Amino acid sequence: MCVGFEHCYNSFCIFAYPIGPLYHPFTVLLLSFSPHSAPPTETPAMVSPHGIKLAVHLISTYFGDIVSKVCECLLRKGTLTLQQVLRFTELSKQNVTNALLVLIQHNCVQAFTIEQPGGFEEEKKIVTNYMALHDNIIHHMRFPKFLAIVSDEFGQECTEIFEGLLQHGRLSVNQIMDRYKDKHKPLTSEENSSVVDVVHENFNRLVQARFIERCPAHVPHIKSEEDKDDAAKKKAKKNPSQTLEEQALALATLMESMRFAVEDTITNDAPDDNSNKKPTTAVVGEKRKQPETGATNENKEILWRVNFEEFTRRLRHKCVVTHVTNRIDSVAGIVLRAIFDASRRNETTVKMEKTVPLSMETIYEEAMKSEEGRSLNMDRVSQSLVQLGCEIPVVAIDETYTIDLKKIIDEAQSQEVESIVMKKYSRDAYRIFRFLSQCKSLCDTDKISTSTFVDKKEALKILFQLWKDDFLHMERHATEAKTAKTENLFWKLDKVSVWEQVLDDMYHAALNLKLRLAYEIDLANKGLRLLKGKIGGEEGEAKRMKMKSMWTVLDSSFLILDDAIMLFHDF
Amino acid sequence: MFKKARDENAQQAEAEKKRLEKEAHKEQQSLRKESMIDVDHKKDLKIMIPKIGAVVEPVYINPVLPPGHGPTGWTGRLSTISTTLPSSRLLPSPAPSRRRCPQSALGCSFSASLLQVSDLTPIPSNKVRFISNSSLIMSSILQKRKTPDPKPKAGASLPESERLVLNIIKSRKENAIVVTDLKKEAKLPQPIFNKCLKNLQASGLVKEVPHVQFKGRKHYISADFEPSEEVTGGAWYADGELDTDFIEVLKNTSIKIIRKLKVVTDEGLYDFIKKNKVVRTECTSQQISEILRALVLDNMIIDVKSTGIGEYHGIPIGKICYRCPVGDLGQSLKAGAMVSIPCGVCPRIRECTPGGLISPTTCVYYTKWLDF
Repeated sequence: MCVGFEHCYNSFCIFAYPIGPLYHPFTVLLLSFSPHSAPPTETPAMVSPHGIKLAVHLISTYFGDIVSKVCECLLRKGTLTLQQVLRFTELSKQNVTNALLVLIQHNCVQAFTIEQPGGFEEEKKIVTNYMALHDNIIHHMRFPKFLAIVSDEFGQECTEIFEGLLQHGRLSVNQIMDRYKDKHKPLTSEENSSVVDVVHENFNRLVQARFIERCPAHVPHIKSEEDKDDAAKKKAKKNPSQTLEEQALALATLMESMRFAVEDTITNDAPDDNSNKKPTTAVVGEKRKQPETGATNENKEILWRVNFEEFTRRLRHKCVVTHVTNRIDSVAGIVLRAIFDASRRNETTVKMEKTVPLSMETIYEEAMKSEEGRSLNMDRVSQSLVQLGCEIPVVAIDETYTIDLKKIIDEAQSQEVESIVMKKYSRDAYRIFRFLSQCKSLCDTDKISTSTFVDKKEALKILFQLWKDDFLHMERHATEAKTAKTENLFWKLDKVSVWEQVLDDMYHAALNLKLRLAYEIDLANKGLRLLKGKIGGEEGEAKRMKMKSMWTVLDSSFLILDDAIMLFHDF
Repeated sequence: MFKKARDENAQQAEAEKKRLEKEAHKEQQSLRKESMIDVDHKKDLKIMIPKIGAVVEPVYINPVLPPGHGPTGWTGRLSTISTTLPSSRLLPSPAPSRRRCPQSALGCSFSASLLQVSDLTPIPSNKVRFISNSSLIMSSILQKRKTPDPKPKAGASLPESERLVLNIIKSRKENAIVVTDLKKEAKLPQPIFNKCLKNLQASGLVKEVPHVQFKGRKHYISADFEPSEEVTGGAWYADGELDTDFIEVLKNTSIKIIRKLKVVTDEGLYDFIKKNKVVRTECTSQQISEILRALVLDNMIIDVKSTGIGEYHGIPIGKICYRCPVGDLGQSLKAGAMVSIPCGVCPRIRECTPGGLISPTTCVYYTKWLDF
C-alpha cells in the first residue's frame, strides 16, 4: 500500500515518493538532503512487518484513525521530527500535534531533543524528535493480564487505582485521588481523610511491588559529541553501537531509586490548591535528575505510569515455572517459584540468564512458605534442583545454587517451533528439524536421512518443503567424483532468522484473531438487530450462546498466543 | 533384512556350486576319454601321492571303457609318483560304493593311507582300469583343506563382448554401475549389449542390485563383490527400501526396556537385548546407539549425563545415558500456542492480508474452526 506525495514539503524534494514499506531507497537519499530533517536515524530494526501492523491495529482500535496514522508513520519510518510527520501523513498540524500528545500520554511515543549543526552561516539548533515505542504499544493488548496479576495480589482497591493508570496512561497522585473520589462519592463525602489514607496506602503498595513507576523524562536531550562531558564520553565509548533511540531511552530512564520513590507528603487538598506546591521528594540523586523527571505541566507535578517491565518479569517467571512443571514435575515448579520469590529484589534486568545464587536453606524456607511446598523435605528440594540442572556436591559447605533460565526459555521456544513443524508437516519433518537444531554446522542430505531414519527421497522432499517455508538454510556444493561432477545439498537451521520469522507469523496470527473477532462481533450485532423480535426465546438464546462461545474461543486463543509472543520477544 | 542377506548368500553359493559341478562334470567327461589307463602293461600299480602329505586322493573308478582302449601309459602328470606299491595291495573294491567318500562333491575318492590290504579282495589286474584325473585329485585335496577354490578364470572362455562388459562391471568393484553408464562405456550395439548382459547374468558372473537412491534404474555388480553401503543404503535398508518395520520393532522394544530399567546406557541396552534375546534378528551395538539417538530426536526419551548417584548408580559420572522424561512431552507438543489456531498451520499464511483474496474474515479454516 503506497500513498504517493504529489507535492513536496521543501524545495529539495521535487519527486513524488511513496510512503510505506515499499518506498524507494532514493527517497531516503532525498530526505537526508533536507536542511530541516533530523540526522539519519535507523528504522526500528527488530520490529517485524506484522508486528507493526498489529501495533497500528491496536492504536487504531483504542485511539482512532488519525492517531494510528501518525503512529504507523513513526513505526515505519523510524524517528521523525514534527515537520516530517506532517509531510508524510498529510494531516493538519493540529491533528498531528494532538495525536503525538495522545501517544506520549499513553507511553507509546518518546520525544527527545538533539542538537543539529546549522547550514551556511546558521547557528546550531535543537530539534525535537519523536520515536514510537513498539513494545509499549503491544503491551496495550496485555492490560487484562496485568490487571489480573494486580487483582490476585492486592485485591479490588489497588486494582481500581491501577485500572485508572491503564486507562489514562499517566496520572499524578492527585488525579488518582480525584478519580477515586468520583467513583466512591457517597463514601468520600463523609470520611474524606480516611479515603485519602486508603488511596495513599494502596498507591504505596503498588509502588512497593513496582507495579507502577514514575514517568521517565519527557524530553531528554542528547548532547553532541563536542558538548559531552567526560562521563558521557566514557559512557559512549562503552557502547559505541548504541543508536540514537537507545541513547534517548537510556537518558529518559530515571535512576532506580528515583523510579519508585514516593512523595513524603500527599496533601488532602484539591489539585488547584496544591498547584503551586512542588513535590518534596528526598531521594539520593534527585539534584542531578531533577530537570529530567517526567512532568507535563509547568508545576512539575510528578506523573506515574504502569511499570511494564515488572509485569514482563512476572509473566516470564510464570512461563518458566509452567514449562518446568510440565517438563519435569510440580515440585520442580514449586522450587523454582520459591527461588524467584526469594530473589525478587535482587533481579536487575528482565531477561536474566541465570537466577540469583541462593543457598539450599533459603530455597527450602521460601518453598515452605507456599501451601504446596509445605510437605517438601530437604532431599526432595535437592532432587528437584538436580532436575533443574544444578550440580549438588557430595559435601556441601555454603553452597549456592543458580538455575539456567536461558536454557529453559530456549527449550520452551524450541518446543513451540517444533510443535508447528510437527503439525504443519509430519513426524519425520519434526525429527529432521530437531536433528538440525542440534547440529551446529551444515549437514548433507545423506547424513540427515541416516540419522533420522527417513528414506533419502522422502528426507529430500521434507527438507525442500522446510526450506521453501524459510525454516531451513540450504547450500549447494559441487563435488567432482571420478566419474562425474555431482552436486550435494547441505542444510542448516539458522535459529535467529527462523525464530524471527516465527515471531512475525505470531504477530500475523494475533492480528488475524483480532480482526476475526471484530468481524464476528460486528456480524452478530447486525444479525441480532435484524432478528430482533423475530425469533423466539430459546432459539435466540441458543444463538447468543453460540456467539459467546465463539468469542470466548477467539479471545482465549489470543491470550495464549500472546504468551507465545512474549516468550519469543520479551523473555 | 539379515534374513534376506542370508538368502542372497545361499543363492549365490548354490549358483556357484552348480557352476562348479557343471564344469567339473564336463572336464571329467573329457578327461575320462583322454586318460584311461590300461594297467595290463604295467607291472606295478603306481599311485600318485602328493609331496606334502600321505593323504592320497582317488585314483580309480570302475571301468568305463573296454580294455585296450584309451591311452596306454601314464601321462606326464603321473611322473611325480613317489610311492610304489604292489598292484595287488592297492586294488580298489569291486563295489565302488564301499570306497566312495560321501563327503566328496565329486565322489569316487578314498584315502590310500587308510586302505587296509586285508580288506581288499584281489582282482585280476587286467580287469582294473584307473583314471588319472589330476584336476579332480587336486580339487578334492583342496576342498578337504578348506582353502578357497581355484576358480576358473572368469571370462576366460567368454566371448570378447561379454568379457568387455564384465570387465567394466568389475572395474566398479563394490559400487554398482548403472545400465546407461555401462552401455556408454561398452560402446556395443544395443542387441549385442543386451545379449551380453543377459548371458553374464545367466552365467552368474553379474547380478542386478537395487540402488537405494536410484530405484528406477538398473544397476549391475560383479558376482565377486558385495554391494557397498552407498548402493544398499546401509544396515537399515532391505532391497533398497528402508526397513521401517524392523526400526519400529527396535524402537518400541528399546522404549519398553528403558521404562523398565529407568536409566540405561547404549551398551547396557545392547547387552540387555543380547542377553535376553528380546529381538529375534541380530543387531549390533552401533544400531542400538542409532536407535537411541532417533528416540531422543522423537522426544520419546531424553539424554542425560550420569551423576553417579541414585538412579545413575553404577554408571560412570558424566557418561551419556538415556531415560524416559518425567513429564508428558507429547502434551506440550499438542498444546503449542500457534498450532491451536488455524493460522499456526495455514499453508497460505504468507498470502493472507486483511481485505485480500485470502483474509481472516473470509478464511475457510477459521469458519471451520468456529463452527460449533
